[in-house]
Amino acid sequence: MSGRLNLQKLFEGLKHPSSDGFFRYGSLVFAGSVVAIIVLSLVVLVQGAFPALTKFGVSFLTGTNWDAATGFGALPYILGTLLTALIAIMIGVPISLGIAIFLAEMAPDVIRVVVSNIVELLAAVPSIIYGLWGLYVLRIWVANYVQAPIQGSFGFLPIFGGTSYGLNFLTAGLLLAIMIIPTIASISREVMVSVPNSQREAAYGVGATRWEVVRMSVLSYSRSGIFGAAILGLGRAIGETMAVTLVIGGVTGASALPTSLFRPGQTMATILVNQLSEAESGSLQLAALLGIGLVLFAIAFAINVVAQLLVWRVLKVQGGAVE
Amino acid sequence: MVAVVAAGLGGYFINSFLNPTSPTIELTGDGSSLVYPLISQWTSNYHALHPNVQINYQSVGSGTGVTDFTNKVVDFAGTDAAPVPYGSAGSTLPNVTLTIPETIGAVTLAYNILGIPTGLHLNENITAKIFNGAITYWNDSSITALNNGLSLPHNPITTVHRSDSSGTTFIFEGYLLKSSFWPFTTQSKSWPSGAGGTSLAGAQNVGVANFVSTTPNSIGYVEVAYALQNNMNVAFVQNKDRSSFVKPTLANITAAVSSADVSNLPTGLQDWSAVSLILEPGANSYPIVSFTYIIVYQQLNVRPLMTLDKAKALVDFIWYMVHEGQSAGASLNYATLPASIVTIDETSIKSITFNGQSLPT
Amino acid sequence: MSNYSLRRFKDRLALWLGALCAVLAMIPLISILYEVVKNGASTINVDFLTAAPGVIGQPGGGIGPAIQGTLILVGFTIIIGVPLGVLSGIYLSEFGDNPIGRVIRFLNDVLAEFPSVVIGVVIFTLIVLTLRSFSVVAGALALSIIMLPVVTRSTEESLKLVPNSIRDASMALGIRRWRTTLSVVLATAKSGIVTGILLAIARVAGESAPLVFTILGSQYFFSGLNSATDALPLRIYRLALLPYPYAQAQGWGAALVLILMVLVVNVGVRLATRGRLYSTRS
Repeated sequence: MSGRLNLQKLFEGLKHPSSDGFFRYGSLVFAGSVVAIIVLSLVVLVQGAFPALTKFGVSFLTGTNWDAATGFGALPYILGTLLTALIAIMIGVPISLGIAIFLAEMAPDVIRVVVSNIVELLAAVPSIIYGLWGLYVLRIWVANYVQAPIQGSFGFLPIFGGTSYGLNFLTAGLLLAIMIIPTIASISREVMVSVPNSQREAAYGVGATRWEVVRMSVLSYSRSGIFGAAILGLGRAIGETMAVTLVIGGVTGASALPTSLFRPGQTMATILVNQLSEAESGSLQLAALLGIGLVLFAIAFAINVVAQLLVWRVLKVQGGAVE
Repeated sequence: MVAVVAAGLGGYFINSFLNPTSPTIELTGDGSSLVYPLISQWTSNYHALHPNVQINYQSVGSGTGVTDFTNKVVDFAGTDAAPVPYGSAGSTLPNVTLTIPETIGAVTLAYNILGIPTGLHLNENITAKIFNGAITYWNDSSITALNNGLSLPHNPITTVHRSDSSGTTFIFEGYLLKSSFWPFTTQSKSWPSGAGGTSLAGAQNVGVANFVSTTPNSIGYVEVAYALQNNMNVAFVQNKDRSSFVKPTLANITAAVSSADVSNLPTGLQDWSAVSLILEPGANSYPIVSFTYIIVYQQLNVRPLMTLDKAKALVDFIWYMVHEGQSAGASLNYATLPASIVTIDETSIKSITFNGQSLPT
Repeated sequence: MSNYSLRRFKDRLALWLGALCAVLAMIPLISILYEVVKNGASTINVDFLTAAPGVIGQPGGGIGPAIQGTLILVGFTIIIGVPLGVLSGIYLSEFGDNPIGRVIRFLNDVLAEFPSVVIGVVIFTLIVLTLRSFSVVAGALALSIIMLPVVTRSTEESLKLVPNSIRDASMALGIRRWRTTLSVVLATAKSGIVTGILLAIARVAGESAPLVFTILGSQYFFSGLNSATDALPLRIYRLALLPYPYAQAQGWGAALVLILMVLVVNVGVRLATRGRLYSTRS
């Protein structure tokens, strides 16, 4: 009852300004800062990107050149972001799901506590440290145990071409997968835990095994929430910058097109880090980079909106039933 | 417990804030990574001589240096590719800028091939083909032809270039342009995006050096100081008259400078981008050599946050760089400036003013 | 095989697959911790933690300015971000059950997951270019934008856990709404709010993308709010790419320091709130 926007009360409050009204609307101003920040970012990016967008139009999104003479096209980096995110999701989601099911439904208590704490600690490791580890450990591992064997047998296939020795899309995607597993796993687990026990009991009641209970009652109920968790993980993978910068190889232009898992590349986030500070003010390169920033903004925004809707809806619907 | 932690952090923070070990004068510059090992030594030496002056130079690449300079967020910048002077067509500089060469660097071709020691023979044609993907294996006939008696492995070549806008790339492209096998026509700070082959891109000279060191069968262009400091294998590059393959030593770099035509050099206000030390004549002249420049506004007051004290310190520091500082370059293979260039620089430095006031040197 | 044993088998299989996934996820963490400790521990000593970096290419020097820079940046981020976040959280919790509140809450959650590189780009364009310098101010502003939604969210959740009976009791005594919220409700939710702030601090201390565009880096100690500074994540990023063995060792050492800072806060918070998550003092 308290706090509901009541027009009558609003007008009364305006007639008799009080410290309470001041407090309420004062804190509203602060809360509105979030909106202001998002709007301001959008304005800055659109204004900065305008020259490139008007000059190149749609070919900004479809072109592959990247120099002042022939123009700036963002396609390689958009594809690079999509490829690394795709690898991250394809590897990360199944593993996260496995962890979530294990922790929510199957693990004995002690193991559950230990493993869930470790998984959440994984989420706390700063991304630059993932990058450092990726550059010196994961890269070598991928080069020796993944790239070399695969290229030995299947190197003739174009998707496996390239001599990047570990600084490539695959390593970046793998690193991203490791980084998003904690997110997807913990949200999926929350969603599963919030499934009312009545569902489980009903399934047990007809003689289902534990796995069948999970499959029949928990997973089908949690589907949209898990999907939302995966989308959140995707959002994180798309926005991740520093760790990917260190392992992806940093090339630009048409050679950055993801034609092979083992070629070096570039994502939208990494080209911003690599090139924004050197682009001259007022130059087309700067406008192009801000355009990439805008695309990243739009994709991240859209993904997060979808994810929030999915996760919210599920947790709110089921959250009330658990207590 | 929380209170203790908060108090501890707060205490340290407030203490650092209230008692900063900050001296009175602070200058900020960034740019060229080619000159960074030397500037790092210079700022350290200068700080020892003048403890109240702190000069913060960050190695972010010539491109970022020039952009930051143009945006007036730094006091000076280092670049190996001289900018188009203020007032000339195509210039992006907002005010009159002095281009002051402060030392001479050299670009090596560093490589990492198992079993092959330093001293691989290369010339501009082979190099152009390697970096454009025309040559893809180390035991290609054109490479082995140049390297009699060396058995190179049949391994694919990975080249390493700069991911950032770089003066070192500018110098290297100047060298590649001397070959008819290099298909590009412009010399810029960016690596051409159409260049072929499998190529990794590292940030600043250190990034290239790092990737070459950690990637088998790779080759990249690295400033000689970094190659020296990291014991990298470097190519001996064929000289102009094809009489020998030259090792990038200080003597050979200096020989290139001595053979250069130092008449008709521009003043500090004119365009230095056409000044080149690439493939200078002489049996011992190392072919890939270049000046590197400090750029600074002639009227220092156009840089916001500049004060008279900072201006004086900056002028003094640049004076130090081209005079007493020259000897510090020897151990890192930076050649000393010829006297004629020092004279040009002195004229430039003396013309720097702050609010119309000329500054002592 | 009877239907029942097949089902039993699937059940067992599911259990082992789940356990396998858990193990797979733990391998990277263990590897990271192992590598950081193995490569970094030997460089840690008082000199390393307090000295300034030396000349490039010459072994020696330390990460003193980076540690100081991180502490100062985090300090200013707290000053900007915490009041803003707490007040926003108060609004959302106490007055936010309306369309405006829902929009704000929604956008807040969106901002929380935003790529930090975009925030760095925006702050570079707005602040660094305007103030004409790379500075602590710019860095702190960028970090506080990252911290804001996290603090807002955790404040709102902590406040919502305070039973309405407390609010009603306080107002029944005649205490005004704003006073109730600030003195009584906030005090009750204090531990939850502080927990949220600490976790946000740990997250922000490790962010490096926004720093690349805002603080430039420096080999000197703190020299003014409007000057460039160094910070641990930025230092690690720069050290990571250096080819010199001493620099790589320093990079791991700095990583060890950062990871210790972050994990200590996280583990500490976790231990402290273990039993108290759903209890409130009444």
